[in-house]
Amino acid sequence: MTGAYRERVFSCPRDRTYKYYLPKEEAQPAWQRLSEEFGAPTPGACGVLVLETPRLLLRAPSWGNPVTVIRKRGWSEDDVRRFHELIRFPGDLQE
Amino acid sequence: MTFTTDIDVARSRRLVAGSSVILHCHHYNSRLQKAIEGATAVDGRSLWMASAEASWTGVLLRALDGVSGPHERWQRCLELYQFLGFGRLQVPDGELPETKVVALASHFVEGWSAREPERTEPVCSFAAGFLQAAAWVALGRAVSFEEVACQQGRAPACEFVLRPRTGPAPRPIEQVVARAGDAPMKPIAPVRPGVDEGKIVAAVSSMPIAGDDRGLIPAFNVFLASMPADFYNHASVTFLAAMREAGMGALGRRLLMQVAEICGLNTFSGIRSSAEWDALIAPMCHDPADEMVGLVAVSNALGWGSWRVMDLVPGESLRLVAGNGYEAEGQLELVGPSLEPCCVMLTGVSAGLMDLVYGTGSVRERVGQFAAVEHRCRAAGAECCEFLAEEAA
Repeated sequence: MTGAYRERVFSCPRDRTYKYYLPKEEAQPAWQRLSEEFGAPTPGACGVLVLETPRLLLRAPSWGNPVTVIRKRGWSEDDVRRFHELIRFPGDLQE
Repeated sequence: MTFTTDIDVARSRRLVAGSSVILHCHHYNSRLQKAIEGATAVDGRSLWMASAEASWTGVLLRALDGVSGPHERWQRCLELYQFLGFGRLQVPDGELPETKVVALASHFVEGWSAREPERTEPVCSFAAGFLQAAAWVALGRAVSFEEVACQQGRAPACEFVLRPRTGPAPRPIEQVVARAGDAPMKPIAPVRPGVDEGKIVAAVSSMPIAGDDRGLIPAFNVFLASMPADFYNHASVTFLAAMREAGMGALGRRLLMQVAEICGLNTFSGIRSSAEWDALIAPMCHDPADEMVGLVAVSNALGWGSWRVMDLVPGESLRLVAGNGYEAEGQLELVGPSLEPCCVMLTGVSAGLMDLVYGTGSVRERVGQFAAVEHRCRAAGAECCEFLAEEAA
């Protein structure tokens, strides 16, 4: 598979958690756009990058790929749609 | 919140307020509760409550050492409960409990609702046992708590009402402590040289694992809780003794092993799909055998004791040894030497790890694809505990 795709992650604490796999050359530009929109990510435990938006929690290894997206309370389809735009995820049949 | 977790790296132990705690997820804890409380041959509910009350009495006595004043002592009890990830307790009508206590969130409700959302009966007997211990240790009041409303039954909060107590006051159980001769497994040459176990243990141990504002610990895609080791040991030992007395000892062991096998699957499945795994462990792994060694390394940061993979035949068998598993220590401390291997949790988890790494199908479909046996046990006189998991017949 060459394009971006995502996999549903089994997660009890949060419903509809997905892990997004980006093409290698797309990861850094995607994080650049995310940082411009939401601020710079911060380093978490175990070398995890953490970027907390108002209604999404993004977590990834230091090289930015894959991105685990946890939906916080009050998340909306608009939040997810905007995230997809920023990482240039074309969408799929999941949800 | 004034608590911290101290890591005893040499012994693979986690310590909070002077007590050894063990990290497990909400699936394991609620399934263990169901196995023990649901056993019809024994009074499982009383056994579960008694273990909760007795273990918490000892834990809280240690945690309140040097703390004076009823308000401060009571508050510290609730803070410890929240810190360890069991939920958030409040007195709705004052500072000290006069008529009732409520829980705004519950680790056990999360476990039950994930598996049996249709159930409406209260599930927070563990919290009631805690409250009885806290009222006694913090306030010198020997009372009972009864849960009259539960979030599992769609109530907005779990509600515990004070009742007069008919039996004796809570008593602590002896703390399971390390003995001078208890040595963890000596490090051996890694069976998978690419997987840096020391780095994994150090990184996972440094994670800030503490209850959030709801008193829950959402981590690794599950809800974790730091359970006092004394509770697991007391609950297991008393349940198995009661089952043996009822002529159903083998069934009791099988029940507890299956609970642990499912724990191994769920908890480690969550760990393997987490961002922490992607960042730290996945780069070390080139095949499923590497993943197995990585998962066992993570378990060595959970407070269970020191495990090592001794042999791994991919897809076929796994041999693990534990130098100081908490179950063997608990057996020796609480009961004394055993005639047979006693580490039911570690046995079940051994099978669960193989189910996860080499099984096929969904998590649920993998249960039972591998089976494990404890061949040697420290509680039965061996130098270490040894487990062999193989494809189920």
